[in-house]
Amino acid sequence: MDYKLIMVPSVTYAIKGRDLLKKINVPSQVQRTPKVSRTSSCGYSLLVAEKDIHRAREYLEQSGVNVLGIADRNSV
Amino acid sequence: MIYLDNCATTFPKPSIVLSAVEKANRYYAANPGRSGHKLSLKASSEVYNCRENLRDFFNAKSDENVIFTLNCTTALNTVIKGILEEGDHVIVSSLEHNSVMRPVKELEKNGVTYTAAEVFPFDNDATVDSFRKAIKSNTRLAVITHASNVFGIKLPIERICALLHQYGIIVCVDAAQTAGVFPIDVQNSSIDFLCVAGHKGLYGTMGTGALIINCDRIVKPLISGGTGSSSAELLQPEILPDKFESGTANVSGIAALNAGVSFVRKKGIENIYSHEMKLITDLYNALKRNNRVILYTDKPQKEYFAPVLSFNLEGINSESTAQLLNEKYDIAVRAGLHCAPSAHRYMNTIDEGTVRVCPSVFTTSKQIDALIFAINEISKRKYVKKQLQ
Repeated sequence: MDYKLIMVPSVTYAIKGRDLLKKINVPSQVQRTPKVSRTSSCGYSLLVAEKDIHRAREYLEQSGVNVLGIADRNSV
Repeated sequence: MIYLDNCATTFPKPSIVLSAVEKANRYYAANPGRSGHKLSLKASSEVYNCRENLRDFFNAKSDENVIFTLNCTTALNTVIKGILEEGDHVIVSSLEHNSVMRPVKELEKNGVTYTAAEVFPFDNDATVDSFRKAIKSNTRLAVITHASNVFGIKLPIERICALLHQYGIIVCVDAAQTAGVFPIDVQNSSIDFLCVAGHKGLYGTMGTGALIINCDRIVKPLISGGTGSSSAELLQPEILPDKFESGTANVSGIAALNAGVSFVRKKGIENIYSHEMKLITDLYNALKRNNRVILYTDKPQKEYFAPVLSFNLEGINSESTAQLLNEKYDIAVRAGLHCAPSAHRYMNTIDEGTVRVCPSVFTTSKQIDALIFAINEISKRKYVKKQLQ
């Protein structure tokens, strides 16, 4: 199965996001965001199966979680 | 020792609180929100659990609006110094603690002015009216104690919030003595900022407090530094709670606070308040019968009082009374000014101070009876005379 990362600004949002995704039966895992550019670092991400990624992002944003973007697991 | 100084900090702590501290330090005391390893994430999750618990407990808008602080004083300073600027006016009550008065007086040097609105025990209409009279065109903030830490007098916070919001004034409530004793709903009460101590009525350990943010007003952080987020940026992040939580969190303290809040929930706030208020009322009734005891308010009543009682003995300094209670009767109370000279000035007790009695959920009727016995004995000056010889 392929996975992607939903990047959020802090560990608080990551844990909140993980708990929210549980409610819609989307499994996720909190991880550090690997450095994706010169200006981004020290954030957290949620590792989510690619098939769930759009539903997960939409639900998180609706629930007030600030999503910074989606990254390929392998590209970061 | 009979401990009746619970307004300073509650003691003893519930066993689940002690276990939480031990468990945190033994099993997951890694730095939360900094690393990606399992221990750090476990610590982060525990911190988050407490945030969630407090959000629910005070009905805050969201988990990230719960900011962990060192104590209630840090939370109050964050709001007072983060909002007020030169030319602003702030309203406080006549019963404030130095945790409010000192930062406000400090800002006076920078061109901030303040008015202390009088509080009228048993007359909420008069109290609200005195806040109305204190409003000026440049009033930006009001910082108000929910209940006096010395006399237990409770302020009609909801009514004051409703009044001040009509004038666009931000309201910050100091709930150091009431969190865990009275139900507080920040959204229903329209409290903009709620400041609480974690180690008093919430039964956590010392070194914990929280600021609950219920508005979008801009507040400058009191301190800046590492948050574990946006580290490439040299400017402090604007996201909550990171904006106000620089530096390593007190993980074991926060775990203890979480356990303390759960303890209060299990006991039930109404039960805790009824228990403590009955003890204070029994004490009041007994002391009222002793004509050498000076009491400063009418009989405490639910709507108007937190379970705190101040008294003095005729002709005996408050510190001497407390010392005798400690040395001869093994009873712990606090005497003097209780870091609230404004309240003492207002109640005309600034010269002698008072002896303050604060029960907790663990205090028993038997312990209050022992205090009554001791006070009655001391009032006969049996020990005072000996001490003076």
